[in-house]
Amino acid sequence: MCNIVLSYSNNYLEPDLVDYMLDILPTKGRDNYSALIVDDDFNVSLIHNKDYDTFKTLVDLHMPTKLLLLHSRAIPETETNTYNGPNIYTNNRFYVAHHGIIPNAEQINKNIKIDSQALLDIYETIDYENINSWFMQSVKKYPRSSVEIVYDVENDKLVIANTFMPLYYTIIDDVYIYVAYKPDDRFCSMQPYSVKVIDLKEILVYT
Amino acid sequence: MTNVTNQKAIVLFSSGLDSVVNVSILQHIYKIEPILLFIDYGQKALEAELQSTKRFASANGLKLITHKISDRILGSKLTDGNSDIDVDVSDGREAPVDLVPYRNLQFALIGAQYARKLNINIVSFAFNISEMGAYPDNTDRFLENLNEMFLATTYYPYEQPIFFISPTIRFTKTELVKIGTYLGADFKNSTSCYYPINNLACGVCNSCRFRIEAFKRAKVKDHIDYAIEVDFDSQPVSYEDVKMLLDIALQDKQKLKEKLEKFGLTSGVSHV
Repeated sequence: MCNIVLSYSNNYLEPDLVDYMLDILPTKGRDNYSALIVDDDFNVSLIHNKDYDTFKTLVDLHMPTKLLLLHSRAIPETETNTYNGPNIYTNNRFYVAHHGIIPNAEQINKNIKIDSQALLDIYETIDYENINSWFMQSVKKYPRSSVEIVYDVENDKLVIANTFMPLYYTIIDDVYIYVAYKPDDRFCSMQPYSVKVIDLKEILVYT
Repeated sequence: MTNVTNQKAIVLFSSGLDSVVNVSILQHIYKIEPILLFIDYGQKALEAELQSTKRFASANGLKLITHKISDRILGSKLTDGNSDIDVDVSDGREAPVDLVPYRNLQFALIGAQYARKLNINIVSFAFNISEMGAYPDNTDRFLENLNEMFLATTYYPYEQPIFFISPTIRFTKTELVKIGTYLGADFKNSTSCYYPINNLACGVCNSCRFRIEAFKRAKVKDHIDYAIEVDFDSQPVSYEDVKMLLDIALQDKQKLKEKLEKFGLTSGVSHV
């Protein structure tokens, strides 16, 4: 269970907007925090911290930023400590953030360290040509995951998906923002059980 | 602190941990008078829940409405089948064993009918983050769609709108134990057990396990009686421990206030 705050843009992220994203991050999940930052040269950095105030100081965005993915985690009482790690996980091809629970994570991958790791095995089979049918098949494998944001480094693609739990979106100052908890009425809800793919190569940063 | 309104709320109440903290947040943060609505839907723990609810209402001086759904909600181990204790050992590709399909949709309709009858504009659920992933009718999407559907079918100004809220929805059970302890929630007169044994919580069903885990993580002693031995830490909860959580509750209170103001329903706003 978590909050996810995502932005992608062809423009610089204004400091006020980054502050806004950081402010709404802990509204749903406060047990640890992660950030994935992709700059305009596709350099990737990943930040984790359990303390919110420290985390905010680490998210330093004084550069053109193509993608900013923030994640805050709520650890449900149903989960064992095995899965309590920070929740943007990567195998260096995919960076995965999810909102929901994956009680069958160990069945998907016996060597799992945190539950989002289980999603990597599913995403290895991603079929961009038939993304809708691929997504609905994958939902059957881990039906309680619910919201997923996946950055595919190899293809420079961003996968945005949700099932029964919500993902909301809006555009602020030409920047697309997605959140797992609706902060205000500017945001619209994605349809349940839907997926979209963004080609980040088409999101060029203004120079 | 500014009150949301002098309003009352119909509060769907099971006497569980979330329900009890929901009442505390409504009373102490939202400044709303809760009217408890207990629904008998044929749940196996009916007697334990109802007795606990009556004790809670009486001990806290709250009005209580009980409503019986004439036919049991079918298709759930909480209402059907044998009475063996169910521990969720499913591999996640199956539904949770304690899922009651469409229960909260039914509860919403019943709550709204009582609200309309009593000229009340708020119906409150006690959802939490921890269970959101397992129950689709415990989510913020469910609440949002419910509100939209009800507003779309309200012939304003001939009919007054009803707003569905869940002041607990942004918190884990552990956080709810902390907030509840800080606000003085009456945990003693609560019960979470699906399968009580001689009026004792079994301590092993899903609901008991999650409750015990929440109290342990919060380092707070749970004062209800269990059929098994459970050791709890006991540390006081300070303002600093819950400050961030109270701020979040206040944000949600402000959102409700704005919705009510839009329909001119906050004429009784007072400052305390």
